[in-house]
Amino acid sequence: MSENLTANEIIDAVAALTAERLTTYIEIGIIMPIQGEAGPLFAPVDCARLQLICELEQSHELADEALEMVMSLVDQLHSARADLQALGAAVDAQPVAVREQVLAAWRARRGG
Amino acid sequence: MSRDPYEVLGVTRTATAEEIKKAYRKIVRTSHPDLNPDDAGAQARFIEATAAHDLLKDPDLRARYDKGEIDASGAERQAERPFYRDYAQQPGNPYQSSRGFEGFVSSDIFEEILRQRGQGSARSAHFNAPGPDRRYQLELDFLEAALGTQKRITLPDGQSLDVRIPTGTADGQTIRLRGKGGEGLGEGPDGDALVTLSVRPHKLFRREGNDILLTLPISLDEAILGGKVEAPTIDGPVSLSIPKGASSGQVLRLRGRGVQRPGQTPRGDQRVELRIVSPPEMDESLRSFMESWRETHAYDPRREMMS
Repeated sequence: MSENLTANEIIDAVAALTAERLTTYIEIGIIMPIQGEAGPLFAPVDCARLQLICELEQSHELADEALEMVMSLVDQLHSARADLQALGAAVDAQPVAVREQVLAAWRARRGG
Repeated sequence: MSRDPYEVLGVTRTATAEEIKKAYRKIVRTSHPDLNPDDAGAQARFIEATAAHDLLKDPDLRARYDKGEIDASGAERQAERPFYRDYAQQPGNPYQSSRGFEGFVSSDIFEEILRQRGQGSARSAHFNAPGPDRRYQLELDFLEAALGTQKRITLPDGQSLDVRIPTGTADGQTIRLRGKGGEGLGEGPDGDALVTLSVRPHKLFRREGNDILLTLPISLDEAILGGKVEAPTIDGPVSLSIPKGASSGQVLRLRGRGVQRPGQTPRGDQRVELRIVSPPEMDESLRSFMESWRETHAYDPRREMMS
C-alpha cells in the first residue's frame, strides 16, 4: 500500500513539528500535500522536507517570509543541480568529438 | 564513541548559550546536507553538530554532562533520518522549480537536451575531464593556527592527507591541495582537495588581524608602583614592564609578539589590556592607609562624565 502519511502520522514522525506549524507551511506553500480522500497525505519527500524546514526555523529563528524565501532558494539549488547533472549525462552520451567541442565551448565561457 | 560536544561545535566549555547557538548556526549553514548537497562530508558533520547542540542547548543536560553524569552519546540517534537532498532530484519531485531555463538558455534544441534528465552517466575512457574537487573540514587549536603546523586528515576511504597549516591561519580559511581530489577522467587532471579550517577559541588569547589580544590581571601594588611581570604570549611567557600608576583598560603593546602571516612583514603585536584585581582580603592596614590617604589626596576619575 501507500507509504504516504496522514497529518497526525507525520506530526509523530517529525519530532519538532506541530499541527499549527504544519498548517502554516501548507498555507504559505512550502509544503504541498497530496489530496487524499480522507484529508491531506504526505509523501516521504514531504517528511524529509519538513525535517529541513523545522531545523532551519529553529536554528536560525526564521519568520514565515524568510522561510519561504530560503525554501525557494533551496528548490532552485536542487533543480539547477539536477539540470546540470542531466546535462552532464546528456553530453556524456555524445560521440567523443561532440563532447570535446562542448567541453571547449564550456571552458571558453567559464575559464575552466 | 561520541566526540566532546564542545569540541564538535568549536566552543569553549565556558561558552554562553548565545555563543553555542551562533556556532551551531554556522554549522547548519556550512554543513546541512540539504543546503550543501555536493559536500560529501556534510551529513556526518551536521548530524554530529546537531547531537552536540541538542545536549548543550539544554541547561540541565549541559550541567549533567559537565559534571560527568552523562556522556555525549546520542549522536547515532539521527543516523536513520531522511534528508531532503535524497529526494530533491527524483523525477516527479513536486518542489522542483519548473521555470528552469526560460531566459537562461537561448537555444530551443539545447533546452530540449537540458530537459532530458539522463539517469546515470555513460562515461568513457576516451573522454577527458578534470576530476571533481573534494571538500574537507579541519579543526585547529588556536595556537596551531597562529604558529602553523602539520596536520593529517584521515579520509572516509581510510587514506590520509597531509596538510601544512601556514602560520597565521585564520578561521574559515580554505587550503587547496592540488591533485588530491577525485580522479580525472581519461587524460584529465585529478581534482583538488579543499580543506576548510576552523579555529577553536583559546582560553586566554584572542586574535584581531595579525595582533594577539590578551587581558592581563595585575595586583593593586603592581598598578601603583609599576614593575616587571610575566605575561603569556603565543611563544611562551615574556617579561612585561607595568608603568607606575597603571589603570584597568590600559593597553600595552608587545612588538612582534603577534601573528606572522606568510609574505607579510612585520609580524603583528600582542596587545595586553591591564585589569587591576583587588587583593582577596582587605586587611586592616590597607583600609586605614586608604582612609587617611583619601582625606588629603581624594580624586574623582568620573569628573568629566558628569560635566
